Amino acid sequence: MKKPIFIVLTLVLVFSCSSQTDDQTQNPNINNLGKGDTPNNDPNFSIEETCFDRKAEILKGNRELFLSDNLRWSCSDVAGVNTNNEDSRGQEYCEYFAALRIPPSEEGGLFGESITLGRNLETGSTPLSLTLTEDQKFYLEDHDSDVLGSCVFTSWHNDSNLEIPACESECPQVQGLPIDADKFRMKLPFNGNEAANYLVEDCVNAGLSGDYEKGKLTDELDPYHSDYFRACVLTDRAGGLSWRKSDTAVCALSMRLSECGCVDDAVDAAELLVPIVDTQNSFRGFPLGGWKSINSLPSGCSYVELGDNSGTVVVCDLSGNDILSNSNDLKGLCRSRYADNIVVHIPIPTQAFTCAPGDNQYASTCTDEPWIVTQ
Amino acid sequence: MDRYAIILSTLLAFSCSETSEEAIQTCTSGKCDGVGDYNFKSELVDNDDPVAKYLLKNANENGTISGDYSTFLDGIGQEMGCGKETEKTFTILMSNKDHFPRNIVTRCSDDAIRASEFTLSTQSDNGELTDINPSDFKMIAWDKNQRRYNLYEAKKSSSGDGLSVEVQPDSCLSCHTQSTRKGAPLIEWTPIMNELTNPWTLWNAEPDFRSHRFDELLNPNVASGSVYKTMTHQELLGSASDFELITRRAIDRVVSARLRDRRDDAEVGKALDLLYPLFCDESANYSSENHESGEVSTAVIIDDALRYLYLQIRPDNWPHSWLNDGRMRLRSVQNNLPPVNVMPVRGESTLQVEVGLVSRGSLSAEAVIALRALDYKRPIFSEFRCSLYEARASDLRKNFLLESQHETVSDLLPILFGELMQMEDSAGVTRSLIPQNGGVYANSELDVSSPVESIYAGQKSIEDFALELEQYFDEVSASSDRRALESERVRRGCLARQLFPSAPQIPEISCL
Repeated sequence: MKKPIFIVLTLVLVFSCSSQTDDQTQNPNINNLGKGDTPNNDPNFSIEETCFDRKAEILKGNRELFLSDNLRWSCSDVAGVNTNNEDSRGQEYCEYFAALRIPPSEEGGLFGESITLGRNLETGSTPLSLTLTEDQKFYLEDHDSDVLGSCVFTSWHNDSNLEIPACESECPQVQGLPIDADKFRMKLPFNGNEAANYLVEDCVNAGLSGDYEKGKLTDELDPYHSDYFRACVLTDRAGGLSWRKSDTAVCALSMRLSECGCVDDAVDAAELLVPIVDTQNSFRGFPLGGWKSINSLPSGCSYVELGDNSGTVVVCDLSGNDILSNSNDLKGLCRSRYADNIVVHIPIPTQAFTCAPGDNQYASTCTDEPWIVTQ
Repeated sequence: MDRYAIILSTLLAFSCSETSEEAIQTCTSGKCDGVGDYNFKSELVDNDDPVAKYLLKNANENGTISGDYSTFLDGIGQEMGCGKETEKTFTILMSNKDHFPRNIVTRCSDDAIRASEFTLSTQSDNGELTDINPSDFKMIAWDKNQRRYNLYEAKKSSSGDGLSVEVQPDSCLSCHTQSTRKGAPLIEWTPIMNELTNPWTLWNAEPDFRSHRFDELLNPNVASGSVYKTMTHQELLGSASDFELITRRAIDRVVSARLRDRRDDAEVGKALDLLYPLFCDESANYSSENHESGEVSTAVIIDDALRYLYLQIRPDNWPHSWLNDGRMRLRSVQNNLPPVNVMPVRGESTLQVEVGLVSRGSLSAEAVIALRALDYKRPIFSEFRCSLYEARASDLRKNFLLESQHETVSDLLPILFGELMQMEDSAGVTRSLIPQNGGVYANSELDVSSPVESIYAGQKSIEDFALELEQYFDEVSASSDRRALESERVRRGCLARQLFPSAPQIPEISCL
């Protein structure tokens, strides 16, 4: 017979803060060695090495980023993005966190307040961990296959101020949290419309001016012969980060548009791909989907309907067992279980681009859709 | 001779037979058509699952129903409240059957938790190896009351008047309930998805991903078979990536149910059965490099449980790639070795028992890390770790004295774990393998004859062990030589074949 669950009123959920100050003072080994929270904080970081890595992942793995009508990448952060020193996860125009209601301490008991774990704030983030009482553990175990929490993925740009049409009646909720900009809009400074717009502009401009590192076209062993590698290195010069999938993919598309004569004005190109905020064509953020299509999602995930079909907020199930077994870092579970298959898409207005490469050095490599980078 | 070989020579002779002719023909439990006064429905009354409910309403007293797999899917889907529009088919090529495809069908497929309540899997071909047999399939269904999967097998009835269903067929058990290692506890039916992670080598990864080996190995005759095509029609085809999520939910169900044993009244046998998967392998999974990308799960070299365990100590501020990322990038390939392909790694269901015991507070993360630090370069198939269990478990089972403070199985777990983490030194004195003042005895490779004194030389802090693992991780990922990895793959592959009847064919290995 299973032991009954005891009510322990004095025990409450205790958060352990993810801010590092306390831990650092307690543990002198922390951050004295090893790698930082992002790849460029690794003492051995090199742009060339990271571009080789990204190129191998993107062009030789099974996640296809460059399609005819979409540019895309997964929400999952690349290897090297972690919580060392600070929680830097959420680098790909997609931020994620866990949301749940504090579990009851007894069968039939009430759920507590709604909380988020690992959600980015303007500075720092909400706590990563929750500490469960024995009774809460029993409750979660008794409800191990019930959905008691959510992984939230958002691509809502930090500078988009669009209202939520669905809130004109009643705002949709996630685990008891009404959707609003405060909690569900991305926070990291680079996860914005403007940053993406500028990146397109800068990479197109570089392509148009020819002022960037180029390989010898006739030398297949020259790493810059690779369209992706060339764009990856250029990303850094254009103000992006060469270790991100998103920045390098956006820059590769932009560079190829210019190399192949598909655009002649960087501002126009940027406006076509990422309309700046508060203009007629502006949008909330890049739509989320799956690898199958822009509007498919992995099993256990669904869209939060904001009323604008933007597809920018997705929730995925966290079961009682998930919460019990991963209470120290549910955001990490969101990353490992779902983030690789939640995909950020940039629709490409293919009709707007007619390519005439002229005498560009790379003219011979240009197809009708040169933004489909294959090498 | 390797001790594994000696043990394996005495293994129980399980075969992963898909039909288990012997089990069917003996009919000792009255499970065949029309035997005496056998009442099929009486076998179902205790089963609280959608298949049982469907059968109780629709089968005759001999357990026979007219139709084929689709009849069952529609009926069971109705019981689940999951219509045809929620159906998905996932396909695996069975490497032990000339890569003949097995289709696994779910309902409520967009909801992995619901979908894990029921699956139907095809079993055989049409007799000519050109299509799937629509009248030979197995089903599993989650029993909410008994917290286990119930098993069902449907075949053409001997009288030819429909499909006859067998409840809890023995033929499912040899693959799904234990390793063949002598002394392994019998566990409830546990799901198997050998290649659980991307690139899901023998699975159809489309439409979400490009498949790894599926397209090249699928027999084109079968691919054009009418049943196969109907089942995998574009609207029904599901990617292995989604079946991974569903399988993980199924594993969660089984493991969580098993871990509830710790709440039972104190019983040494139950506690030891829960500790077994920490020391010995009950299951294996198989990882491959993501196509030609060089990206592979860290689990091929470092036990994935270690990541969870370290995060239990502290959720952040770890400066180590092996711990933070869960994947690694192998640098250039030399020596003409192919990418890492179907490398056995510690089984997810085995690992989750360990993680669950720690997250539920039955064992400390530090104590389990101390175990994992022993022979750590063998995250799976460590004869040393398993020998710790086998050396003492029988004696503990017989002679451990329960005391009044031992109320539940959970109370016994840390005590018995401590007992198992011991060995005798050269003077015959019993010594603990958990350092008294904390930390671990980190030893990359050990065998059963390794003396305690040398094991003790590896003592270091938990933090320093994490650093040692990072150096190992860096060394492997930066190396341009994959021979060591390949050698370990062969070692593990041969053991997997011997221990797990469900092991896939592992390419390019030859075993003695």
